[in-house]
Amino acid sequence: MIHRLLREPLLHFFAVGALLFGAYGMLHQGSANSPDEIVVSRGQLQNLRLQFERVWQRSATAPELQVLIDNFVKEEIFYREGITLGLDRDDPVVRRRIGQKLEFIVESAVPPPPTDVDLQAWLDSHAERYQIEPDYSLRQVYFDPARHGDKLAAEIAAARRSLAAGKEVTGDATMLPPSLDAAATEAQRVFGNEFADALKTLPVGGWQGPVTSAFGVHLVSLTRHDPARTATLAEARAEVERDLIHARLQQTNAAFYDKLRAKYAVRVEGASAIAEPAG
Amino acid sequence: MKAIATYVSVGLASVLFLVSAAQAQQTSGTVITDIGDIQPADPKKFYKEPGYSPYAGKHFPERPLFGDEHVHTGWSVDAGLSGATLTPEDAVRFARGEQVTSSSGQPVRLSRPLDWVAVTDHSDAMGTIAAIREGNPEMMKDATLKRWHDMMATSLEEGTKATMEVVNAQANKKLPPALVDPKWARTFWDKNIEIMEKYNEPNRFTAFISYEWTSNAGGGDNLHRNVIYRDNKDRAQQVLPMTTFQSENPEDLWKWMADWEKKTGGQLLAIPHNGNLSNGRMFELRMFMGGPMTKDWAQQRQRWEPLFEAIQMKGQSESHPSLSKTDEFAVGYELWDRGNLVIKPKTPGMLEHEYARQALKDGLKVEQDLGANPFKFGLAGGTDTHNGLTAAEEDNYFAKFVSAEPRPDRWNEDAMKFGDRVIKGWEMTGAGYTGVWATENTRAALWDAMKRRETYATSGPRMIVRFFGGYDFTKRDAGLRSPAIAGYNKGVPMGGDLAKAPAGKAPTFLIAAVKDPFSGNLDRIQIIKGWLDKNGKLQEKIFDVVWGDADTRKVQANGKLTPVGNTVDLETASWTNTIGDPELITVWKDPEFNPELKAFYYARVLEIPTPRWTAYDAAYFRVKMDPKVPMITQERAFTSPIWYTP
Repeated sequence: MIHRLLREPLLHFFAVGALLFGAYGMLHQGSANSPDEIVVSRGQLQNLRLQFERVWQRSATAPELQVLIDNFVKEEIFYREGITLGLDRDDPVVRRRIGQKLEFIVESAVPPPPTDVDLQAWLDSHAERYQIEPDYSLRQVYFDPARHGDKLAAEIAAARRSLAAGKEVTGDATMLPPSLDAAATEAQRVFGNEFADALKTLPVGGWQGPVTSAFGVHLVSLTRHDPARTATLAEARAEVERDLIHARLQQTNAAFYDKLRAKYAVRVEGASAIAEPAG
Repeated sequence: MKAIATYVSVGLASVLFLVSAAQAQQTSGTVITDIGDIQPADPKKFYKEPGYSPYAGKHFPERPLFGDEHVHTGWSVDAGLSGATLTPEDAVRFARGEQVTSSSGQPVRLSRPLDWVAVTDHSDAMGTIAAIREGNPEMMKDATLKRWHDMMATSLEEGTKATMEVVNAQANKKLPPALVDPKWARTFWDKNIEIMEKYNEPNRFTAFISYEWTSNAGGGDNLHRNVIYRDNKDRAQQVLPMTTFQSENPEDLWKWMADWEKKTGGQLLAIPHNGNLSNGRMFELRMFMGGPMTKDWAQQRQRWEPLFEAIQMKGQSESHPSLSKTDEFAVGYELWDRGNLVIKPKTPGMLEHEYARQALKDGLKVEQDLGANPFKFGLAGGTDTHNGLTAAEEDNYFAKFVSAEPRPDRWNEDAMKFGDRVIKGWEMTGAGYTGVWATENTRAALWDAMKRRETYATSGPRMIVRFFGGYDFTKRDAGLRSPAIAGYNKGVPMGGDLAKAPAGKAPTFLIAAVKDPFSGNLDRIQIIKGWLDKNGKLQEKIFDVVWGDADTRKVQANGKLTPVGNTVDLETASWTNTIGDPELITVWKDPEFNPELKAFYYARVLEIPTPRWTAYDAAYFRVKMDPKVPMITQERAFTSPIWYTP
């Protein structure tokens, strides 16, 4: 019975209310007997002290404690009067906060850790997320078109012949790295999209190009191209586990809301007036 | 009813556990290491490596790591109220390059991942929710917990006793395992920490533990600070963030930081932002409560606040045209200069204490008078997004609030409105990020680089900027095009200090920039010098030191460089990189150096004109905007200064 009750969303909801206001009542035990009496209980006092300590990392002095008590009493009086006046209703801060707290409760129901079978299934069905990107080793010789004008093509061709003959060619001065051992996104970060795209189809071996980048043009020698592949579970376990738990949590939240939502009939007044015209 | 009682008492147990954890720390005999006074290693000593191979023992940072030190999510009260539903988890996933659905339901992704992020939700009202923990029956399986639960349910006296037992058990490391499980200790703060721990992957992506302390002195004078933790969960969770419910006085924040460091042995730094909205208070030349600055105060400020956020979505705070009258690039550039955070209008004299450049100058004077420089800070950039999306790119601008996520009318709506005082949507800035020269992508290495101010702010693009000062740089160092090797061997990087000049020598600077391959070519690099002249007057001067299209652009008779031109086509919101240069490098020697005068130097890198986010909006939504709306921008980076202190 208790177990079934614990799973009952509505009860959770009441429990939140009970906690927000009930816990408050507990801490002010005695005060409930007489509406005009405020008892700052020993428990409450201790709580104020500890809260102070947790922030300030030292004990409150007597005058500071008195301020804490005064503030507490003032807040309590304002709180009670406010509740009496119904100020908690329709307050966007209160609404949002209570809603958030409820969400937290739902999320704190930690699901059992996924098994390897779960993880593998998730990996298989979301393989595109766990791609190990292509990895390259390359050398490049840079040409700044602005420095060559009309002679650019001829000079690149000449450089290419020299490179093919095994000679060193330095190209134009640049801060770009002459060689790179890196994954595709790193190549993209350094040279830009166009260059990174070109690498995908560039043959391995020999000097190729000219390849255009965000900086100019390059002759490129690709000595290694490890193509993209899906990671194994061993390689991506942490990420897969994190994503799967994240996805399950979202499902739980959605299911919880659906269940709550089913309890309510919602009517939006003048709904037809706010519907956007079709098209 | 029984079930409810369980909820309540377990919730209570969680509160008591939380508060007791802090206390127990003080009694458990932990060795406290006060490392607060250790200064970062002298970079010269650290990097200098004798020997033939320039690469041997190479410890210097190889590439800047780009991130956003200023992100709010739905967990910030103001963001949540304005419709942000994205959580810190969503924000981190987005920063890592994943596609997410924005709070307004639009799919969005960054052009490429960031290297790090600091989610800085407001500490105020981030508050504990431990009091409402779920009454999980699992917990009651533990005999000790069951007994504590029963004690708490009996009476408050018994409950207090139980609390003490919890404290003792914590101190003696005898807490039941079920209670030590993090799931019982979740406040928003704890949960935030959990998320950052989960996504923080050393050498791939850094998720800092951080928060914003949001002091609005006098009701809207922006004195906000982002507090960045060097450390991990074990230290961060020991103490709750400082809120302005405790104090609005930055001195109290520093005190809190000092206490935190002493208690945990960890390290913190704070990054103030939006001097432009502080109505003269961000860099006022007195203490918060009104007294004159003291040397101790100046030292404290320098110690705790090594960086200043100079650009973000609410405008730039680098320089103001009324303070820097010869700075043509400050004119009309992302200025939010009409009031404070609630647009309370400024009065004369306020602007003088809001902008980084003026503060850097004032710092020299204060140092002269008091012997310590309170404003010895480097520069950072962030978004201050309030929708969890660190989208600072002009062509991918998701704005500050959910209400301003891409929509045809956002340019013309009110971004902020207080009475009849309004900031229009088009005034929002598409900025910014921080480039950090860290030796590796970890919390500790990034934090250390921030602490030694080896950082620069950008308006969004990720250009690479190197800036070194020394006495021996020559043109040859620029010719080699490996600025880091010469830079670290012969000088200090951005954020560093130059000691008194050797006789007959003037400071030389090796400065280089490589364009962001996703953005515009480079127009020019400038060095901005500020100094205290021999009459005690503060001066500044801007030098164009290297520029693109150098074969055709010259310094004209009026001292100004020929403008770089403009290729922006507003119809299609596009431009061509047919002007400017993809990279620039030079060595510059101060031609007006006086070895007796205190000075600072920092670099500003300007891109060629490119479309502003408003232009992308106009093209995409086919809307015609008011002629006063700027449609073209010159993206830029500004580095931390190098100081000359004779």
